[in-house]
Amino acid sequence: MKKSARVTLVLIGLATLAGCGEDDQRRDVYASREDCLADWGNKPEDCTPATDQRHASRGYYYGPYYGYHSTGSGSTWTRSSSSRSIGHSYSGGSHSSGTTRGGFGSSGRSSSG
Amino acid sequence: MQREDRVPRVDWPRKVEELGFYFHTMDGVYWDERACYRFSAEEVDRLEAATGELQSRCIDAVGRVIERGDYERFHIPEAFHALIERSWNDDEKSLYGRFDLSWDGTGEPKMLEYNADTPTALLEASVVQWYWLQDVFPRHDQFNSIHEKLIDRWKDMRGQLPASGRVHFSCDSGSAEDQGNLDYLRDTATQAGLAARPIDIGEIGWDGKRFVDESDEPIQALFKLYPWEWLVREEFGPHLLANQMRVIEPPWKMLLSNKAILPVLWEMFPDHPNLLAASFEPGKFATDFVKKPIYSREGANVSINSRGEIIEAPGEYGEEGFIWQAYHALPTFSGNHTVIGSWIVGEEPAGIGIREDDTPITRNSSRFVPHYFV
Repeated sequence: MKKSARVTLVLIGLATLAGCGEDDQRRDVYASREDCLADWGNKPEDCTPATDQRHASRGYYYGPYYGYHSTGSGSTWTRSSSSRSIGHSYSGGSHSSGTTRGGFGSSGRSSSG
Repeated sequence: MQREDRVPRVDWPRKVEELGFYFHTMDGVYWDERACYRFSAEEVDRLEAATGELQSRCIDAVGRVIERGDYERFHIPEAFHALIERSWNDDEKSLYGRFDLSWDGTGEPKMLEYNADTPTALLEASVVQWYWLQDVFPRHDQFNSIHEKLIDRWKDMRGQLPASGRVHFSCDSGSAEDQGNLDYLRDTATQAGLAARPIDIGEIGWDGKRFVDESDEPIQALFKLYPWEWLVREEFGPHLLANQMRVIEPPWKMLLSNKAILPVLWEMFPDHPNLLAASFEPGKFATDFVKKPIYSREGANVSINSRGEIIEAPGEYGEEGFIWQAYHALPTFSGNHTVIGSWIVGEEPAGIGIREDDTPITRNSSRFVPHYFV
């Protein structure tokens, strides 16, 4: 046989296991405020302008953060990506004043090959 | 090698989305199970052998470029030559790559190029078409052990990674496709026992001494789905020279993801059955040639000159120059131009993914069509 005997996913999709990515939260990134509002019930407080340099420079918007929840057999993102979102931004801690950011990412085209 | 029409599975969008494959319909149809390709076991063996052969020759070519210091033709900034050499001499392990092959099931597969740094279409090749096979042809086989080879490769690489097992995974999260591929790779690393943390490429920080994440924790190992040629030219590029952060793919992969490797391979192995003639000189081919930017992705700025006609894809590449390659037309099946993406994981052939396009130039939006073999 030349195929994988078994293909199991633990982080993405629905077939996830408990305990993975417990420190992750993420929010969806949108190309427009309208797309974000359409996804989040037209609640303006849920859609905020992106603050990281690359997304902000393109006028993108964030939806609210969401995380994992546990199920009987494991855990999964509490929300799957919609077709309106164009990516995710992951949570992190507070930044220290001595750190500079945005020094990578300016080339800004899809890197797919 | 045959193309077969199929009736798509009922509710296939839900099925593939359950696998984390949300970008199945970008720019129109992308995942396309209205058809599939059927191979014989002998044909798969030939693809596997050609892929292994090409990988070996590519490693030979990297060795020669480094030995001779032949970087000028690759247009890689001089400051990074030493970084490439160090990563090569330290035997920094590569995770993966994808050859694009032209083949119709007869003769020898021909290498069009090697996506050695940031190959995508991985989730669909490794996972989505595997589950398609279970639903549609459960008794048949598929040239696809990408998933288990990726997990094994991460385990092989463990000794070169931080003792904490922490690896940051980064891309431009504004691209759903890149993010989907990255999330999948993070999944395989997690299954290999690594602590795989996501970070947007723009959120990587520099604290004056080292790269740090959003929590100002040091980034000791970075998997980046972001081209080396962009990293080295951006503001933080010079900080990479401190070599404090292990980067995957390793710096020596800069040579293989560069189209300049194509004429170098032809210089070293002229008339190799799996290679196409290629040159740095524009006058080498009177007709029937492809002009490719040294740096290019998704077919951008590639132009085909065949039988007096020129077909050119738009784009923003070409500033660093071009190479010329003999034109080897993609085979057509039912009017579709078909390219075979043949995966390498570590040093081994691992499987294939097939893309179709209405035009002779494979683009980012070219449809992904599953396969099986008997």
